[in-house]
Amino acid sequence: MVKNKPPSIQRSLSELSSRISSISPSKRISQEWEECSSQNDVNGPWYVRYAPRKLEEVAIHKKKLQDVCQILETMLKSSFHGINDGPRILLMTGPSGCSKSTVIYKLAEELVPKYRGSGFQMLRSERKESHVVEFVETDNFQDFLVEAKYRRGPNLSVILVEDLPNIFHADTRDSFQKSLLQWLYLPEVGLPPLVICITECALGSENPQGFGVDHNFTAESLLGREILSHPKLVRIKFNPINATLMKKHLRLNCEENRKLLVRNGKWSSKDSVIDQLASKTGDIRSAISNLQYWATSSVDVPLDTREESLTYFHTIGKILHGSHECDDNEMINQLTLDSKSHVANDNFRLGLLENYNLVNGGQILLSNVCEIVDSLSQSDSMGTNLECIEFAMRKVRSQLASVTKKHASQKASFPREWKIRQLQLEFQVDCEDYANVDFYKYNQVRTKRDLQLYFAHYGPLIRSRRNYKRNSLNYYIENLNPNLQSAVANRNTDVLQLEPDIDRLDRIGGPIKSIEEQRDVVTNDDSDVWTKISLQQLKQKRDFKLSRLLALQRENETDEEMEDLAEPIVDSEVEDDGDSSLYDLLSQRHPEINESLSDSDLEDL
Amino acid sequence: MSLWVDKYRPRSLDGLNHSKHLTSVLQSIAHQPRDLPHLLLYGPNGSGKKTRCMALLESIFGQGVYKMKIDVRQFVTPSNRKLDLNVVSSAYHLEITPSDMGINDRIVIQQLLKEVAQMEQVDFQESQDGLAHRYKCVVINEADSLTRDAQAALRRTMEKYSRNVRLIMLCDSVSSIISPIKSRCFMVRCPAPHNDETVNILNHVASKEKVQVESDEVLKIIAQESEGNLRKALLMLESMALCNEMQLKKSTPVIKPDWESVILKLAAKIQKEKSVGCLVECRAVLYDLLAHCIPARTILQELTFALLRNSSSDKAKIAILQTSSNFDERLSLGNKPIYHLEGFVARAMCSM
Repeated sequence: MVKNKPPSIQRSLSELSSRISSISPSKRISQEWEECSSQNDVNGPWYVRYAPRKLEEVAIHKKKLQDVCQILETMLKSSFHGINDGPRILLMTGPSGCSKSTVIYKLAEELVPKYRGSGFQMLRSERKESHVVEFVETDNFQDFLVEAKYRRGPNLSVILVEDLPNIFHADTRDSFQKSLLQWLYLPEVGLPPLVICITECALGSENPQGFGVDHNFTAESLLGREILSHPKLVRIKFNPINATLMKKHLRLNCEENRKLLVRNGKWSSKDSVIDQLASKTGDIRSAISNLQYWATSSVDVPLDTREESLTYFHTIGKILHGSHECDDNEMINQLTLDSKSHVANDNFRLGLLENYNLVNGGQILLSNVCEIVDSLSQSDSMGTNLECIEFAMRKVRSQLASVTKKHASQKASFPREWKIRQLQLEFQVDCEDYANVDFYKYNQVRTKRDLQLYFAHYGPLIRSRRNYKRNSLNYYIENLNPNLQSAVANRNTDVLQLEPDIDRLDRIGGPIKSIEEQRDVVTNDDSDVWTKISLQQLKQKRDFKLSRLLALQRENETDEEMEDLAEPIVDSEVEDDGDSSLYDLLSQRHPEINESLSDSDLEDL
Repeated sequence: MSLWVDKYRPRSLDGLNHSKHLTSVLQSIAHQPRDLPHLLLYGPNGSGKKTRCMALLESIFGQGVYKMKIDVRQFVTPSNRKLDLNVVSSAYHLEITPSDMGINDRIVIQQLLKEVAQMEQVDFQESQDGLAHRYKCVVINEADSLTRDAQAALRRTMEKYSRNVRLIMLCDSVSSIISPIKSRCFMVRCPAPHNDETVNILNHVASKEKVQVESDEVLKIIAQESEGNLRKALLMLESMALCNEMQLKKSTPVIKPDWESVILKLAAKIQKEKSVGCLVECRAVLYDLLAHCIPARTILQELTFALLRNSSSDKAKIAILQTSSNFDERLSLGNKPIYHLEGFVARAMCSM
């Protein structure tokens, strides 16, 4: 009878409700709740109940803490002294549960009072002694930033953006980025420190194309290149918490709950569980709740930690360098299951192609490389579904497995394919421009292929030579006497016909050289923006030239028509005589035709 | 007329200056313009297909065919996307190039042909048999790049509207044209000019332009290098003449298209240095060739020929040809050319 009793989980309803409130979208609520609960509530989740009270307790590597502390301090200092110095935005990125926001809260608690000016607090915050002002999803981001500007002097606080507006909506994302840029370029000095926390993760989606915010929730795809490369933005990347730190904190948690553990008969096995958790995950929040779950349940429950999500480069590194933890087969199985958004994407194959030479510092056998590229090529000719990419992954891994590693490998780079596509588009617009000139000025129709293969090179080459000749010839003609001038000009119409501002004088698409590697991640948004800007400029140039060409052509045509005009009218008169009776009839019906006819007749006569 | 290629391009059938027998065929066609069949002109690039086509049209319709304009036409695809296309036309003909419209060529061709066909061409021009030829010509450039879909659509349209429309198709090779179309067309093969024909033409142009040619040797070299492509030969002649103060000597360096010289250099490098590092450098060059819109297939072809020329043993040659044909197939199956080009380079390095 006793055996059949289901295992009970010793948690009350109130605990569950508190959990729900902590999951709710606005973090501020949970933060407030944390403060009031810290004294007497005993039912909360452990990661809230035992949240670090002091800076020293935060699970973070010492050096990283120093970095963050230093930057935040310079930001606060410049706000305090009212100088425009040092960074304006601190960007913290990393996976979830690596103490990003906790560090900021605790640091703000310590640092903000030091730099807060004395005087009457004008802006009252909802909570007493708040050192951090947080953006809430429902607010308008722009308004929030405008208000946040005045959080200085006696009201100084750290502005924290952790909830983001709906960045999946392209326009909202645009305006979000725009307001951040505005913040970076504000002429005012002494702005309060703005801290952005981004929990990076890959979002699984069906049939992902390229690299954008819909599949990869990263700083690159969220903020865009312009913001990230701004000198007034500092980015600190957080890593998952390492095993030693994790063990230390889990052990502390166990100590706190010694009674409970002893009661459930789990005190003795706690070390092995902690080891297991620490080796499996780098997410402290998830580890603590797992520990709590294990500790509070009366029977043995399996530990099931959150899956580690990997970054794009990390996944590529796994395939190229292998993994220490498990054998290749298992690792690839894992990857195809967990990181679909990276793997089931043509970008991934391109990444493998771009980076295979990094393994062992490029010291690989040519035969191995040959097989690798061959498998990628085969995989591409099969299609873009997951199986084809898995084939390439397995083949690449098996070829590289035989490489013994001696040399260090360099940093991976992002595929150049997107850059090439951009260049191709630019080249095409350039080609159209060239074709326009050839058509309207020289009355020649060019097919695209001839342009690409021959005229893109020869056309500008020949014209630039002619331009050189034209300049010297013009000089020569100027120094001649007027009688000879026209004669010389007539002899050289070919050369003088050239107009340097209309004819192309440099190779279309620039000279052929090698294309440099791409170090940074290029997101869809970024490339869209570049494409738009540079293509727009090119297109504008092309259209401007086209309008000029059209105007020129019209001039020529009117000249020709003036010459032609005399004859057709004579012709029509001949016909008029034949059909005079018909015209009489018509003129009776429509007197205005008669008028117009007589007008032209009069002119001719 | 700016470039010599254009300046000395024959504009009428009498002016055509190589492959005499072909000219007589065209003249006989032009003699009875009412019975103009659908034409399929095929031959290598630069052999004068387009020139002949325009000369033929000129002999039928008169000088008016050279008075061309560009119209922007709008087409709607079945997925309701709007498509703008530049159509070059004169009063008597219009020209389309399938590569301009990508995969939508079927819709464009059908709509365009229907439009043309529905309008009866009224021609008051005096001609020996009264109201002449009531048809408009549609010239399809690069017909071999028409998709199968478009070709299949074309075969019905060709018959249905043959009263008002005549097609003149130009292509490099007939191998990718489906046989129903071939059977509905009068096929005209335009051979590339022989080297001595090319030399004669070059000589003619050079004397007209007052280029001092030291001996025919240099022209022969140009003819050799151009591989029967008259367009390339004339462009070479002009750029060489202009770069050397209108004096051509035997030792004057030939100016090839830059991408060709890049590929030659690439081939030499592949043969000299067989290493992973070299492969990575090759990728950078291949990428830039692609960025300049050089078709991947052309790169593969040129590279193969360059490698074949440089390699000595028969065994190596066979291996190169085999890998090349292998990757050629993959190029047409896959969608990112860089894998296959690099794959070819890697294989070629291994097999040599």
